[in-house]
Amino acid sequence: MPTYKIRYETWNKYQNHVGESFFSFLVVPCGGDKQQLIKFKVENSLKEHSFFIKNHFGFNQLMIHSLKEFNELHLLMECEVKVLKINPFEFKGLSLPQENEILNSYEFKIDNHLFLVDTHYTDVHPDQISKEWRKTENETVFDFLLRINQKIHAEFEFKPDDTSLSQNAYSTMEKKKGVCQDFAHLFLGIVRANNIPGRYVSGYLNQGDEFTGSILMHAWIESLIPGVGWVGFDPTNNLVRDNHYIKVCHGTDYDDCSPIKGVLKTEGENETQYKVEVIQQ
Amino acid sequence: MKTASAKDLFENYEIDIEKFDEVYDTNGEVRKAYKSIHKYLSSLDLDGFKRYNEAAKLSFLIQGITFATYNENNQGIERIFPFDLFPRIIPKNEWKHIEDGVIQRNTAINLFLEDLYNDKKILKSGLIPHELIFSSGNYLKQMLDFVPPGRIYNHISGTDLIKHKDGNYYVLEDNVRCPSGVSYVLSNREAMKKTFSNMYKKFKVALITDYAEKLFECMQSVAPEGVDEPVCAILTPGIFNSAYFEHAFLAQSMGVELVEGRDLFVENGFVYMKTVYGKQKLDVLYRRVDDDFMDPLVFNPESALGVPGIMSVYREGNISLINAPGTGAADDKAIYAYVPDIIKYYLDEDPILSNVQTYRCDKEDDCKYVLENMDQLVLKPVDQSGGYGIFIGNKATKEEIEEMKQKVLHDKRSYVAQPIMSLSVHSTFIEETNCFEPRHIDLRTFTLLGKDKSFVLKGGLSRVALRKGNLIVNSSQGGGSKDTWVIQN
Repeated sequence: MPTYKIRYETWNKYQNHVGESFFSFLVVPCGGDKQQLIKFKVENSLKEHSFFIKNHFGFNQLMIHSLKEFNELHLLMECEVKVLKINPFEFKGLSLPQENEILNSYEFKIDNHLFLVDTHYTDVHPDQISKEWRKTENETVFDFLLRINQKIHAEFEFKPDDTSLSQNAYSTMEKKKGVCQDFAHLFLGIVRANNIPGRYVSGYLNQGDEFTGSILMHAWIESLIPGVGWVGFDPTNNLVRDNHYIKVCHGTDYDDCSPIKGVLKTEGENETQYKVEVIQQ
Repeated sequence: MKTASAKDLFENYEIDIEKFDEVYDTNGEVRKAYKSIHKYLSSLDLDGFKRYNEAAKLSFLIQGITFATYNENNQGIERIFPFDLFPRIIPKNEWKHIEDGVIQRNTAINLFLEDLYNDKKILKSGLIPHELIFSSGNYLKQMLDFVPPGRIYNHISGTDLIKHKDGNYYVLEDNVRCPSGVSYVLSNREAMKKTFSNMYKKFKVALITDYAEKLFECMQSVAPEGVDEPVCAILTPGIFNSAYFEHAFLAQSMGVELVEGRDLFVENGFVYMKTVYGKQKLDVLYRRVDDDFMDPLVFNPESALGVPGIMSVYREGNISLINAPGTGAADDKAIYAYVPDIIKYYLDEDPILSNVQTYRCDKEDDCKYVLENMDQLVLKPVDQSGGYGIFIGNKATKEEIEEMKQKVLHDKRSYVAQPIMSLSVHSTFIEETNCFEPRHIDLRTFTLLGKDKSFVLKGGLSRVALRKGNLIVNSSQGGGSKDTWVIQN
């Protein structure tokens, strides 16, 4: 049962003075879902009081409202999280006919509609979904997800594209490259096209002892396997979620999970930087 | 020689037996409810009537009752809302039918919304295709698995009715996204009382002055749990909004603050108002800002009209929003066709008010019928209000019909069609001809739902299509209005 110490730090610089501001951060690991938030601490350079409010998926957003004028905001979040041991391959699945019956039921489609409908980010063109992106008749949902996880990992290049901040699944499929967010959106487009619910997950990944340097927040997906529940898949690393993954939140796509959102009274350019450290205790 | 002023104001009045005339029956006799007012207006000569007419207009100008349409300008240039001095009269028994009907309808719509955002039983039963809801841009994920204070979504509903040539009322549209127009009802009455005070006193006209009080009670009834004396306010997009007058009017009538987004902020899970005395916690907000602009954190991030974080406070149960966001999922014109089923499903009652037959272009049979009978139908985009984008088949040219067909084929989910309903007509003074002529009218009613209470404004806004033969009565399309009198028989 590993315990992690996580440090999230962000610097935001503004060309002009910011008057009134409102920030929302989705960076604190969630409780439940096989993990436990032991303690956390938040500091901001404005010395403003911060508070939590849940978003519409029930995840804690850290919020700050300020009337102070500033040019720079620094925020530091430190926490400790205990993650339960997860063996993703240890479950008893349903038989294929049972699985299909649930997947095709009205009830299932209605209960999970939010994660079955494409968004701007996850939309792929039907022509892009060739046969190898389709679940075959003899494949269970889990086997299908494993195959796609592996396929994206093998056929797509991990390469940040600095021309656009975030690309949608359609262009990821065209370019055959992207970063973890892009692969997650593409994976969601594929599972949803196969009528399997999928949701976007934002969080932290423990990359091991040799990787103590600066890393970024991570993104992967969870897909709903009938009779089993939501299981996490990470196409960037071809892994099924285990206890190296620390979840912050989930949603339909990146927009529901973006780590920082601000509504500010200012004009001109701004620059955002952030840094993440995950250390196993 | 007969002078213009000696001319009988009703001299050239033509009765079209194909249409229901509210004032005259098919034999040309004045209907019972209208006898005495008709007699009074007939006794006036043109000069006399025009003096009254000018006085009424002036009264609107002085009160500052104006509106702006987005079509003709984008600088918020304001116009007087055209007002007609011949009031529309609804006898008490007819009104009872309307009142029962709109309460029933809006109560069912409220239950429908709670179900749509929670258990979704009506979708699971298959009565309404779930695709229809899930494909609607007005169905908000931000409202899922949440019930607002007092279990009310559509606190204020504007139900639009028409009277067909068969003499029956039909519901033309439901409006449950903060419908506007009530300030015109109240100021029409003021103008009417001043202009025709003697005649007004002769009738037992049901009062409408209690609207602001009832709205305030409704707002207080849905205050967050544990708040005994809620602080209420009205949120306006600002002075360039076409209905700004109404926002200011209602705030003043209720004695609550009129605020803009920049006057509010979220802190510690509550919404606060900036005041000269410091911050003041806000409990109930009647917002006249559209869903998409309410909270830049979860909706349109460019919006400067809303309050960042307000949706989270709402979901915590710490503020009440009127109307609830996401009510547009129920007044979409594609849903309209299902409202009679919705009433039966939730209330186990037959609908008191009828629907107009509606064809949904995303249904194969319906679409086929629509495409073959374009010239006899009215087509409406499902997600527009204010009379924008309406296509009237018998007024369209061949090219226009062809163009419309292509639009429908391109986006079937976005259109519904209805037979061309013959809206009733009402004598209306026409300035160009200096006499009364029949013009099409409808009726917007206003229903309030609060926690364990409901109220219908006794009267409503009778809208008039001022252009001859025109069927579209919306103010944004050059319509005017009349005072509406509900009277004891």
